[in-house]
Amino acid sequence: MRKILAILFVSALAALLIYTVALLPPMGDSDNPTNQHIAPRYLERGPEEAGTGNIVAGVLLNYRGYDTMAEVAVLSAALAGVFAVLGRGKKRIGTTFIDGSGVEFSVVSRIAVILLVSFIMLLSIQVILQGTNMPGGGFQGGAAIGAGVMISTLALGFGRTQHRVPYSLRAILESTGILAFFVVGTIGVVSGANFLTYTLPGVSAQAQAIVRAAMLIIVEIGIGVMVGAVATSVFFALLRDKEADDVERAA
Amino acid sequence: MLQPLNIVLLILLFVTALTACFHRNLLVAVIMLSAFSLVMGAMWVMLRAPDLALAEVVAVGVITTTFFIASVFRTQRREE
Repeated sequence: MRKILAILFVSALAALLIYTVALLPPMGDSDNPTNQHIAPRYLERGPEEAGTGNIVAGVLLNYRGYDTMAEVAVLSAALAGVFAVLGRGKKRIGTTFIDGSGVEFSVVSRIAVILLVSFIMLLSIQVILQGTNMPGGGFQGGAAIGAGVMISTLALGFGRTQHRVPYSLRAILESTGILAFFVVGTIGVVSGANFLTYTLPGVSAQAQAIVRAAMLIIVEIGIGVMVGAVATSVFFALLRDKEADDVERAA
Repeated sequence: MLQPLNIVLLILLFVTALTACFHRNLLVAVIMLSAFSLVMGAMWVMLRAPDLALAEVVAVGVITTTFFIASVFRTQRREE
């Protein structure tokens, strides 16, 4: 009986969803409302209004700047949730590899991973700094930083990587995204402009472009560092041993 | 719309997604999820969304996969 009810419910839901999808305007049609008003404006005047060659970055940081700022705050909330469940893990005691064993990788794979990670880090810096003019930006570059730390931890073991990004450093870096947004926003407010408009009043038009580029880069770097630190912290919290918990609780 | 490369990528997406869902060995499933995100990244590039492609490959392909690997080793390797 219950199964029949479930099947009926799911079929009704599916029919409703398919009906709704059928009512949507055809994909990619140039007459769609989304292609009529806002997209042409972004495409035509985005580079000039937002100051970014990459229109996606312009929408993220400038047109929808508040949205991105709140998104960064949500990232902090997610990290707080992870720490509430898993514990922050100031110290690491016990096994050093992800599978719980103490057996090291071979020299060949370790050297290969070190080479690979150095290029990943280089790529992430490039993605963050070029994010306003090329595909990429703070989120992708920061995730690449986190990915580099994770890959090296997988191959080299926890003991070799953890002291490079210690707890005290990560605790500061985890808030740089919001800090960068507030610093850039507040500079604007203090000097008489609006919050997060990336402008300073009383500056010539040529200097204004430089000011805007500098502010955008500051925000990108802040987001990138923060995303990298958050990803690393979540990973290290996941790697924490049960033994380490017990030792900490006893102490 | 349906170029040969597109069809190959779609088939690969289908296969990797199904394997990730139904394989009994959880480590294989996680690696298949990573492969899925790589193929998906190629799809995003073909759809002219390189920002999304970067995010997909880095966030899903590496970070989520590593989280899942850590979780698999903390719990058990096989599905019951």
